[in-house]
Amino acid sequence: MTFRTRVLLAFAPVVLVPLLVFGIGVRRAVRDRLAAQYQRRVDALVAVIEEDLTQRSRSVGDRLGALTAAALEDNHLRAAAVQAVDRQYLLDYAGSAMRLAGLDMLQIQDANGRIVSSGHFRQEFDRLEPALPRLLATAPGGVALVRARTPEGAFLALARVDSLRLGGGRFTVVGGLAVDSAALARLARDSTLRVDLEYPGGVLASRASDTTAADEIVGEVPLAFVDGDSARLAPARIVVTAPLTALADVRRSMDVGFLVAVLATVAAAMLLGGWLASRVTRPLADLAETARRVDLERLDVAFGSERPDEIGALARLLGEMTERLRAGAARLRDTERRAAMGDLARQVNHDVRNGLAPLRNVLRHLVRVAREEPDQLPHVFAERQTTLESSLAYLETLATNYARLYPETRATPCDVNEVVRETLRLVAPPDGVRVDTTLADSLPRVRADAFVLRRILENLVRNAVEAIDGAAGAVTVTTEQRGGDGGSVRVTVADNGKGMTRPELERAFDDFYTTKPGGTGLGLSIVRRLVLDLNGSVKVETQPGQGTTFFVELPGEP
Amino acid sequence: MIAPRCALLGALVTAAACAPRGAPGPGFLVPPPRSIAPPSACDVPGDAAAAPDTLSVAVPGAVDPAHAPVPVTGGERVLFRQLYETLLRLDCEGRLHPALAAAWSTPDGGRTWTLTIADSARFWDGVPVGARDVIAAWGTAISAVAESTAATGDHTLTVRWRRPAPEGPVAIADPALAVAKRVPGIAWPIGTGAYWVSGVTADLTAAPVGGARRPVLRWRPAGGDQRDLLDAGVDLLVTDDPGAVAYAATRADFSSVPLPWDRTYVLLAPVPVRAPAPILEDLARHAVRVEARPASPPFWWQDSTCGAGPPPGTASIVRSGSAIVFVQGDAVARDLADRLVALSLDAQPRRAVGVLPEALAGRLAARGDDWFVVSVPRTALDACAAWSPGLWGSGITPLLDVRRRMLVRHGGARLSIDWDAVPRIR
Repeated sequence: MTFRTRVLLAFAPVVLVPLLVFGIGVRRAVRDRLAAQYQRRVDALVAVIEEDLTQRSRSVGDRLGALTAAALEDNHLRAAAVQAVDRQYLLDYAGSAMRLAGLDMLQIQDANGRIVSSGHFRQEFDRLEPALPRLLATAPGGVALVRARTPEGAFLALARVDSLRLGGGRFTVVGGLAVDSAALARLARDSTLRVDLEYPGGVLASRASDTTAADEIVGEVPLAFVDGDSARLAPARIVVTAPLTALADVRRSMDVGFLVAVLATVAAAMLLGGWLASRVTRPLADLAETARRVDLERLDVAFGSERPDEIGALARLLGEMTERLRAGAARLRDTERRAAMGDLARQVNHDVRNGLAPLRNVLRHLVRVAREEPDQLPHVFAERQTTLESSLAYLETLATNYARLYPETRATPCDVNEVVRETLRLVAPPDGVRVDTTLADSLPRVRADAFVLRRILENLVRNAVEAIDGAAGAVTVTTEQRGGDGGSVRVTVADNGKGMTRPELERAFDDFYTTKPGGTGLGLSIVRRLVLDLNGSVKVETQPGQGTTFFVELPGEP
Repeated sequence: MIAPRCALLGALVTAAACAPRGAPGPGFLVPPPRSIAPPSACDVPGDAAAAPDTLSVAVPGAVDPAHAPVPVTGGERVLFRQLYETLLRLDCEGRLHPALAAAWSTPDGGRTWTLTIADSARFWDGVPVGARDVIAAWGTAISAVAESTAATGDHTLTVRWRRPAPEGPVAIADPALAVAKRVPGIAWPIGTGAYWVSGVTADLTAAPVGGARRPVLRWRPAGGDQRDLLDAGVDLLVTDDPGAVAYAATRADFSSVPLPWDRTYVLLAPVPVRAPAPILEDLARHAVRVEARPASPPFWWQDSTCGAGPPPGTASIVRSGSAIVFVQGDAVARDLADRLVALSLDAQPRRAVGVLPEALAGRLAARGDDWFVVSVPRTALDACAAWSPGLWGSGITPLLDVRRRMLVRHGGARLSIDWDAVPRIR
């Protein structure tokens, strides 16, 4: 797992855990506060309903009192009720009285419980309902919920009972106000609260039940209930319900907002973590990449960094370490060179001896002939002249080859731009290949042998031209100054030729490695060796099919 | 075939139920006819010496010229009787009187009747009434009772009945067969009655035709408290309002004349409902607030000569409801329905349901287990024409007969009562 991944993974809990804790805490606090608020509203409405019921009960009682007082004064009613005169008047009496009193239910019964007049259901006369006034009289507070019959069906009424005496007979008067959905809705007042009347055999609701509400807060007001045919009081209750749909809505909104916040936070954390990890790991990756290129043969890599932090210190440490490695490598190369020189000396010794041996033999032969047969000397000399010439040619070739392998250097302050121009004059590019230059002004001079420097550039330019491989292309030679005064000079030779593969790149500076038919495999090896001898560095960037760029950086003359 | 007949009957009952009382039905009746008869109990004696020039009349029920000459409401029934004449007139005792026709005879025992139109028969515009005018005025209405009609002369026509009518061509007295002609651009059809009218305002004035010595009729809207009409100078009020009747009893200048029992309220149910006499008595005395009596036979729908046979069984009855249905606006039907709910005659919980008049026929066709309280004419000029197995193929329980009263100011015009309890100005 990479350091970047670790950083990203570490960001998740660091950011999400506090956010989750905060969200859950807010959610719980909102629920508790809303639930408490609803509970207060339910309690308040229960109190209002209790007061309302009390007032309605008192109102019904007052109206019944007024009705009975008026009935006692009505001689027509007295005659109809006691003397059975004009029964139509008696039958219609309750209807008129009910409307006058503003009641929804009115029933007059005789002492036997027989209905003699009904306001809400005129035609139910002669029906026996003796239990109704008796149960109402025993109901708590003298009021009860009554299921009253009408031709169209039953309705509920909050009823009380009163009585009067006519002609020595006792009559009970049951009156009430209707309790329907509209009345419950008026009780509810607040559209967020629901008022239901639950009674044996049914439920009356102020509005349609909200089936989506999972939670609700409930309060209730108990009532007594009398069915027309029942013999005893039954319990009923008004239930005030506060469906917590608003809370559910708030929760839902909070959840959505919270989810959005989590997603946004996670995205921001990922971006921030990625950026931070990149900031941290990119220099490290660069250092690793640079360090990966370091080996004893390639110590010209630079770890330079201006960063003031630990990474900068690490880079500088690596640079110093590389510098020490470079010094060690130089010493090692010097040792190797000396060893090589020994080998070379031995080789030269061997080769020279091989070349001298025929000469010595010819010379001895000629000496012996001159001493023993002087007259034969011209003839023998002519005879052995070929041997002499071939040996001398061999020695000359040998000298040339050794001279090419290791030329002599004479370091002097040198103008790189001038060397570049001189080199390019000697290089004749094939048709289709263009050689461009971008030479910086006021370049510092470098301490080098101009011949060596020219040889370096000549090798690089020839390689670049050959990399274009006969096709149309361009070679660009650029010089630039690196660093401040006394800095370095960078020479860049770039081509858009065939480029190198990774294996080719890894062996590009090896001796005798070549990909060109007839190549010696010494060009880049000599370039690298010559650059290192000038205390410079050489770097290559290549992409197969796109070209190769060599960077030669040489220390400037202070 | 059943469905159209059912629809026809439904419309009939609906129309009947719309009216407070006494919708005329095709058809009829009981006592055998006599020819021209002397004055009878159908005549309401008036003060001939008074001979008022104007008679203010109020009858509940709106008047719409578009209905003429066939009345729909109670008010139209009384007014149109003065405006549109039939060939013959049938009084409250079932006696035929000449009207537009001066004579009638049968050559075949009552199957075919030949009627001779009186020379004096005139439309309001003075044009003599001819036989073709009569047949044209009848249109298709006559086909309910007659197989064919033919004008055999300018003033004679023959009618071949679907059933022999040896008692006389009484069906001719049906107001649906009143003679009139429509003239484009004139709201009221040109009538043949003793009065003519023009204009479409609420306060109508009907004038005697040809300057006859009759009072001018001032037609008053009868909405609101009918006692106010009596106080406002109405000379004739046809009403079933017990309050108005009771108030008139306190007025020395009014007479209360009971009209014949003209409507019967029946209970239609999948099977006949047993209604003992005490219950019928209870309904008549206490449940309704009009003048009523327990329904008294005979009933024209029990006429077995129509060949309808007994009511079908209940196998096809679908129990789809438990309502007692009445027509909205009919207070008597509502009171009866309410009382039947309270009595629970079949021990099944029921509730009263009011329907609009135009919805009654459909409700009857798909009644299921519902009961219906409807009013039907007490008499029908032709029972078979009114018979419908689709409607009546169930239990019919007669409940009440009801009637209205005429409250007549002393010194007013003389009146006579027709077969369907409609007063006619003499």
